[in-house]
Amino acid sequence: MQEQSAQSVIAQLGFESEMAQLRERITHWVAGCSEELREALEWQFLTGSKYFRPLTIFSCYRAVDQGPIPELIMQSALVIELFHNVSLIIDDIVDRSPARRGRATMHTKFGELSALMTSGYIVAEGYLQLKDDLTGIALFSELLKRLGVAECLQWRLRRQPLGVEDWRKIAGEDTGSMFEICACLGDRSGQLRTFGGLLGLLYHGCDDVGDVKGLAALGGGGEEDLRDGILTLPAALAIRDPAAAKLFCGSEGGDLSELGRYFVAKLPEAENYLDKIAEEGRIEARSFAVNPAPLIALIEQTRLLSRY
Amino acid sequence: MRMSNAEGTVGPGSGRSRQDPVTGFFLAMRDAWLAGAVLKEALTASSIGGGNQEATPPGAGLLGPMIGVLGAMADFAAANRQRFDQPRAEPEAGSSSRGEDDAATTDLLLPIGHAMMIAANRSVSYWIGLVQIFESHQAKLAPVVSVEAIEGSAPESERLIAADELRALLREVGDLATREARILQNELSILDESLTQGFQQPDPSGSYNRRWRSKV
Repeated sequence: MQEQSAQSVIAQLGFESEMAQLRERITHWVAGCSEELREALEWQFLTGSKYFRPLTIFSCYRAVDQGPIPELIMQSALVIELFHNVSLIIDDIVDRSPARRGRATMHTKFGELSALMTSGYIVAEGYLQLKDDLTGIALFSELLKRLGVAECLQWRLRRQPLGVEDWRKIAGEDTGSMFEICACLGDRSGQLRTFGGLLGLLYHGCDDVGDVKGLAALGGGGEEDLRDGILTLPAALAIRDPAAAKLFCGSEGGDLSELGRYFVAKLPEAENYLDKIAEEGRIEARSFAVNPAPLIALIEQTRLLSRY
Repeated sequence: MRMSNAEGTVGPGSGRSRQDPVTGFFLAMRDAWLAGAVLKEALTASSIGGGNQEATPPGAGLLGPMIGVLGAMADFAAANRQRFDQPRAEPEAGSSSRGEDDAATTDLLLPIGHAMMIAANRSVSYWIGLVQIFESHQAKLAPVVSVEAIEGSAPESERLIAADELRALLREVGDLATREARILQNELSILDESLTQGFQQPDPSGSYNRRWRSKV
């Protein structure tokens, strides 16, 4: 259903041919990579990605320019998909996740060494693909730095009685930074940066809520976050209750199912909070885009992710 | 507060009936600001809900200088109008004609007025946004000012919740200010661009058309 929904928003925004072109470029790029890593790269790249980040880049471009998608933007879309996959590979290693979207993760299938080396190879290839796009190089560098910092911050702040504002900060640096950069790559003026950050925050929150609902809606379950005491949106709301906070902050091996019930009880409140973020995103789109329609479509699509 | 008086009788609404559009425009803007101040007072009073109704609301204090500035702009426009209305000696050879002076002044005054209007709109929008933010946090922030919270006797969990709410309020106020400032910057940039284009001198050499002659 997620896949269908992603396809429908691509059709709605009229980016089917651009997406087909992007898929073709990725296939071509994988075919030209080192034979030693090709199988791992095919495993990672040639299976059902939703291409939501490239879609964000295209939509942000369309929000400020009605013309066809230029080569520079297409190139950025390819590289964001490469870097996004690097973040997935690393996340899966760090989270010790055996599967993603119903398939074995790269480190499970090919081993940690291969997974780590392949992710380094992808980053180097990404920068090569950018050629002389200096703005793009600066933005992708910012992204990698912020993602690294966010991962460390999230880990350092696990199992602590923090609040929704802390969640917002962590999510804003994690998924938020990814979509901020997508927006900047698309509009190339920085006008839509805040919109991108809000879209990322919404995506992160919907992912958190979807996980608690027990769905593999966005590619992962929520067991790892629960086990590791990661501050998700439902967790930040639930641990306002001292009993939930005690379970959350306790050492590993606590009663996770009991903690999960506290999270479930907070889902309506979490959904309300996500509605508020979605509205902030719409206001940003209307205030700063020449044509806000594609951006609002992204918001609506993302908001649905926690509702399945 | 000093209220500028462009033509001796200034009250809300007076600007709109003037013959001179520039003066009228500034007076109308000032009236809009006065209306904004009244609105702000009403909103502040209702959100305070039974507080000291006679105290000057902070909004009015900040709006005051802007109202003064607009009044001064209206004075300036009126003075210019009087200058143009008075019979003048024929311009010296080489100096610009009265019509040109008039047009140039209007060319500058209208964008200034437009800029002031943009700034006024943003300020009012900011104040209304602030009121909405405070309104939405009012109930949740009540525990922050409770006796237990102030004395520190409230349970730790309640204090954490209150701190989170307070942080949300601060972030929202900051976000609002940033957004309004960005919108202001955008709107002024558009005005700047149109002003630049309006003052661009036509290229005396005409359209680019390279003149060449065959050497053959």
